[in-house]
Amino acid sequence: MNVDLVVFLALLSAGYVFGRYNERKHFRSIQEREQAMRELLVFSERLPPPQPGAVECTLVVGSCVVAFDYFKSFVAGLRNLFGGRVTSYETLMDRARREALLRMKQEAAELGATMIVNVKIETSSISGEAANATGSVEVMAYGTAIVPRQRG
Amino acid sequence: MRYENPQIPEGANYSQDHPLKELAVLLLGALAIVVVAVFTLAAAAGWLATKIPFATEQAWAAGLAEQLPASALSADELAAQQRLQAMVDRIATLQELPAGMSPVVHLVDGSEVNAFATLGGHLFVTRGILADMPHENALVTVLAHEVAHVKHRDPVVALGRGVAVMAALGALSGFGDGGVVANQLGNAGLLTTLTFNRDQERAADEEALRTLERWYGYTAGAADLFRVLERAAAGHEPPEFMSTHPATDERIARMHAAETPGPLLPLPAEIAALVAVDHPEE
Amino acid sequence: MIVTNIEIIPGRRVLRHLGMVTGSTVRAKHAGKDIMAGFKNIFGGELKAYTELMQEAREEAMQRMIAQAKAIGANAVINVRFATSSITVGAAELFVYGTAVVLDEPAPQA
Repeated sequence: MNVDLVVFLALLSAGYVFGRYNERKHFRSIQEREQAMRELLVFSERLPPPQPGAVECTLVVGSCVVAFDYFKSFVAGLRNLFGGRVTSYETLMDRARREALLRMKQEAAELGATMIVNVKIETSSISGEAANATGSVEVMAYGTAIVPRQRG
Repeated sequence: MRYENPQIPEGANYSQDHPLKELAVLLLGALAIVVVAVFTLAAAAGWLATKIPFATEQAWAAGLAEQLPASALSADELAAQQRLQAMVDRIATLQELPAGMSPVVHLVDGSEVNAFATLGGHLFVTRGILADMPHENALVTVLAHEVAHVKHRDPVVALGRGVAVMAALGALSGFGDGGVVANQLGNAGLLTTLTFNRDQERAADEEALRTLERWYGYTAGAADLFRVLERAAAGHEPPEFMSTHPATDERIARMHAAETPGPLLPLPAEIAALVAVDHPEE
Repeated sequence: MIVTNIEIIPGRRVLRHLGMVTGSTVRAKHAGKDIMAGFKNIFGGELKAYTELMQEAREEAMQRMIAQAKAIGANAVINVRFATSSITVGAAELFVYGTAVVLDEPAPQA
């Protein structure tokens, strides 16, 4: 048996087992935190609704960098031969985006905000240009938190 | 105006397919592409190889022949080899080989039952197969079969295919992780070099039958050759789809159907003398 | 379903703001088209295969966003934005997001 082949299969199965375990755990955690922060509203509209009292507006940012595991990269590489939807990366992007939004919400919640408006999301690939570089993607979410000013 | 954030259902932005299923489908697809590409390349290279002039093939073979151990043939063996060469020359005339294409026969001292054609029109015949020949008709059949391979340029076509398969698998190893698998396949590619495919064998069989018809005016005894080969294989012949030679039973049946009756002649004296040494009790 | 990148639909009133909806997809073209695109880089010109790829991806991302909006009972998505990014060589991610809203019924023609 070829040593390279053994290493390759080991990496592939490690990527699959750990990648899938992490993904499930991450999705569960995302869902829990989303539920916990349901009260903090998020909108992509530019203008906040008219507020009854005085408010403070602050920029809040959340970001998340995710890396592809070996299994996902391999499947995506094969998918590149045939074209079509790269399903192995879709869950990853979904996780990264929701995580970034959650971190933004977390920051806003700590400021005591009730709402975040004009939310924008940016995605960028921060892996090198080298063909064999393992990919990683950064997702950044930012918006304006509306914090009711303390009375008295 | 009301502001709210209703719960969005889970999983709208990704597929629910199992990742292993995706992997399996993709691997099968990739494998299919590799197989088709390698076969196409091999076929193209085989066709191109027929365009190589026979003189060029002979020049390559000259290099090969020097590497073979110079076997010291005894006087008896030399006489037998000369006799075989005379038969091959007559077969070459009967098969109307193009000018410049002149097969050279080499007698190999060895008990294994084998005869094969290789680059440059070199035919190799073992003492083992001569010892098993029941009559001259079978000997002519085996020689005619090998000369037909030379006529059809089968060795150079097989070489072209082998080189194409090796090159394709070699190029594959250049791409990422697939190379590991390609290395394994590459080793198998070596073994298939210079084996003829079943179509080539069938064509050579048919050519041998036509030669027999021209030599004797009848084709009796052709099937006996394959009975000899069957006995030599002694039950460990792989199933037909594994082997490049059409299964011996099938060849016997086809040869038998094509045979026309006629007397079977004894082996030429020089060859009979060799056989007598190998089987002194007979 | 109204999908627009303005915030105020003339003649309609927003009854309820339902928050952000998103749609995304990651897509790749087959290797043959990648190779053709490589040749195109010598001569220049439009990369038809990739234009097509991005359009397909945009269409799919929009469908996913609209599906989310429908699921929470919206009848329009306003202030829609697109974000495209190249994730790895040959694969592009198309992301679209906006605010799902419930609009009132259009006023009858006077």
